[in-house]
Amino acid sequence: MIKSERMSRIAIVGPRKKLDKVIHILYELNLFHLVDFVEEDEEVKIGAPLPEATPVSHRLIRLRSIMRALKLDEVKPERAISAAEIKRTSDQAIVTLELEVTQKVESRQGLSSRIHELKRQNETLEMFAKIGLPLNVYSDYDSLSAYSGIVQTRIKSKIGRLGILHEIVEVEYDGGYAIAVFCKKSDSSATQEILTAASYQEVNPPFSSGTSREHIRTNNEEIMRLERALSSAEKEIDTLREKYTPLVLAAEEHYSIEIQKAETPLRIATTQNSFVFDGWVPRSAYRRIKKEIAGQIGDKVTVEDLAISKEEENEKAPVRLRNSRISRPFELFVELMSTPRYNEIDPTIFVFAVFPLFFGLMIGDLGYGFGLLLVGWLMYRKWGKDSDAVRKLSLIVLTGGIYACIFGLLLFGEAFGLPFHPPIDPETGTVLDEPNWEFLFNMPFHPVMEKLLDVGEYLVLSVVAAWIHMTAGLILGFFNELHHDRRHAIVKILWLIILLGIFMQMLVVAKYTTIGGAFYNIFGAPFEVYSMPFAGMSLSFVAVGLIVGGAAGFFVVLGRSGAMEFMEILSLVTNVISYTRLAGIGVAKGAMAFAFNSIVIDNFFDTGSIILIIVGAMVLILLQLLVFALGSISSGIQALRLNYVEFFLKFFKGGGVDFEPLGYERKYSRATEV
Amino acid sequence: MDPGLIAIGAGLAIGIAGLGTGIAQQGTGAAAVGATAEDPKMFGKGILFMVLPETIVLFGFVIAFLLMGQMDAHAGT
Repeated sequence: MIKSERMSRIAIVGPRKKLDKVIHILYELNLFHLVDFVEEDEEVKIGAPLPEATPVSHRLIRLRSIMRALKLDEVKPERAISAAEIKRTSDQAIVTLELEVTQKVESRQGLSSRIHELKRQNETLEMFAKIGLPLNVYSDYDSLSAYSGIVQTRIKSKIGRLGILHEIVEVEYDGGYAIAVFCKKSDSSATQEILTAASYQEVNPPFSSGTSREHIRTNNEEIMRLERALSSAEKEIDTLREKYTPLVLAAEEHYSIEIQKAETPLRIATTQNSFVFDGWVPRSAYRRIKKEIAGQIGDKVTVEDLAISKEEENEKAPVRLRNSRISRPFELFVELMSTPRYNEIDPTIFVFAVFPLFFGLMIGDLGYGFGLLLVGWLMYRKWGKDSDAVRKLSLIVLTGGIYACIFGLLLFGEAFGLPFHPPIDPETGTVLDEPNWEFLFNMPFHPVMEKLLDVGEYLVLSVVAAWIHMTAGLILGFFNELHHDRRHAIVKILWLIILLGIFMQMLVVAKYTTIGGAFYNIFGAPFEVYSMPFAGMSLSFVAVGLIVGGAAGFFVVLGRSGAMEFMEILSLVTNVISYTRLAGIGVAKGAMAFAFNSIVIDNFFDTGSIILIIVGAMVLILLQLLVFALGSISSGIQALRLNYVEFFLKFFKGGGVDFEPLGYERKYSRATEV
Repeated sequence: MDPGLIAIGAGLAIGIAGLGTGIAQQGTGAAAVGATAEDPKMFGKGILFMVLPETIVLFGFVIAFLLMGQMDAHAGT
C-alpha cells in the first residue's frame, strides 16, 4: 500500500520469574520490535542474561570449532531436526566429535606434512642421483673441502684454470647445473669465490650412506604407504562429516537462537523483581500479542498500549512495508536506496509500475525478452530459496522480461535484433532490403515503430515518459510535504507548473513526430498564435510564462531562499533530457545486434559453405549473448537510475528504521514446544 | 555555412562534454563502488552521487541536438 504498516508502542510488564516465558512467546510471534533500554538508574537496570546463556554459549563455541575442523559447507539437509532431538543428542555428539575430529584432523595433518617432507627430500635426492656419486663421499674429511649444490653458470673450466688439485662433477639440472666439487682445504677460498660468482646454492645430501636411487625407492614406498593412510583418514573424516553434518548444523542454528533469546534481557529494563519490555508492534497485531501472553502466562504479565503522541509515532516508529505479493519484489530497489520514513509514501508500487516498463522499452525485443524470462526462472529455481534478495531480483527480471516481450512483439516487432519483416524507411516509405525473419516464418505482427529508423519518435516517447513520471513524483512530493510543511508543498506545485512549461516548449520542437504531434495538439496547438521565432525554433509564450511564473512563485512562497529553488530549474531541464537514455540505450543495443547480425549473415551465411555456416552460427550465438548481457545490465541500471535520481529525488527522503521483530528463521532445525 | 562543419561542431559538443563527465565520474564512481563494497545499502546513495556529473554530457547533448536542427536549415547552401 501507499504507506507502511501503522505501529503501536506497547509495554509488557511482569515479574522476573516469567521473563523467560515472555521472551519465548515474543520470539515465536515474530511481531515485537524491541526498543533497547539504555538509561539506567538506581532502581531500573539493564537485565542479566538468562541462566542458560553460559552453557549454551559453551556448546556453541565447541560446535563452531568442530564445524571449522570438519570444513562443513552449507548443505541442504533432507530433513530438519527437531529442537527436542537436538537437546537429546547434541551433547553426546559434541563429545564424540571433539574426540574423534581432533584426533583425525591431527593425524591427517601429520600424514600430509610427512608426505610433503618426503617429496621434498626426493627432489634433493634426484639432484644427487644426477651427479651420480655415492652419498658417503660428501663428508668426513680431514683435509678436504666438499661442495655440493646448484650453480647458475658453468664453473668446471674456471676451477680448472685455477691450477689447483681438485675433483669436479658438473651436470645440467633444472635450468642450472648440479655440481660436486672437492679440493684441498687450503684452496677452498679461491674455489668459494668462483662458486659465489656462479650464484651457488648449497644443497647437503640428506643421508650419509647408500646411493640416492636406493633412498628414492624407499621414500616412494613410504609415500605410498602414507598416502593410503591419508586417504583412509580422509574417508573417516568424510564419514564423520556425512553422519553428523545435519545434526551439527541444526544444533548450531538452534543454539544460536537460544543464545539470542537468553541474551534478550540485556536489551530491556529490569528492577529487582520485575521486567519491562518496551517496543513496537503492528497495530493490527496488538490484540493478538495481548491474547497470546494472557493465554499462556495468565494475568501476571500485563501488555499495555502506551498511546503515544502522533508526532512521536511519526518520528520513531519502525517501518514495515506492506505491498501486494506481486509488487513486493520491488521493495528490494526501495530498500537499496533507503527505507522510507514511517510517515512517508512507500514508492514500491510506483517502482513496480515504472521500472519494468522502462526496462522493457529499452530492451524491446521478443528474443531477449524470452532470454530474460529464462534467466529469471533459472535464478528463481537455483537460488531463490536461499536468498530473499535473489528471489526478489529474479521476480523483477521475470517482470522485466514480460514487458520486453510485449514491446518486442507489439511495438518494435523484432527478435534478437532482427525485425519480423523488412523495415520501411519512414521518410521515403520504401521497403529496405535488410535481413529479417521472413525467411523462417511470417509473424502476424507489424512494428508500430522501427527501432533503428524512427529514432525521433523514440526520443519523443522518452520525453513524454519523463513528463508523466516526474509529474507523478512531484505529486507524491506534494502529499509528503502536506503533513510536514505547507510552503514546501506549494513549492512542489510550482515545480509541476514549471515542468509543464518545459514539456510544452519541448513539444514545440517535437510536433513533427507522430507522438509529439498528438501531445502538441493538446498542450501546444491551442496557444500556437502566442509564439515568436527564437534560435531557429518557435518560442511559446505560454510555456515561457509557466516557467517564469513558477520561478517567480518560489520567491513569493519562500522569500529569499527561493533563489535556491530557482537555481534548480536548469536541472529540471536536464532531468527531462535524461530520460532520452530510454531511446539512447534502446537504439544502441538494437544497432549493436543489427550490426552483428549483418556481419555474420553477409560473411558466413551468404557464402553457402556448410562449414562457414556452422562457424557463423557459433559466432552469432556468442555475439548475441554479448548483446543480451550488455543490454540487460545497462537497461537494468539505467531504468533503476531514472527511478532513483529523476523520480525519488522529487519526493523521497528515506532514512526510516527497519521493523526488526524479535524472532528467528530456522533452516536446519525445527522448533518444538519446551 | 557548410553543414559538414555544423556536424563536426555537434560531434565535438557531445564528445568533449562526454569526456568531461567521464573525468568527473571517475572519482565519484570509484568512491561509490568502494562504499557499496563496504555496505551494500550504499548502492542507492552511491548512484545518486555518481550521476551528478551527467548533467554536463546532457548539456552537450542539447547543444548537439540544436546544432543538428541547424544542419537541415543550412543543407544545400
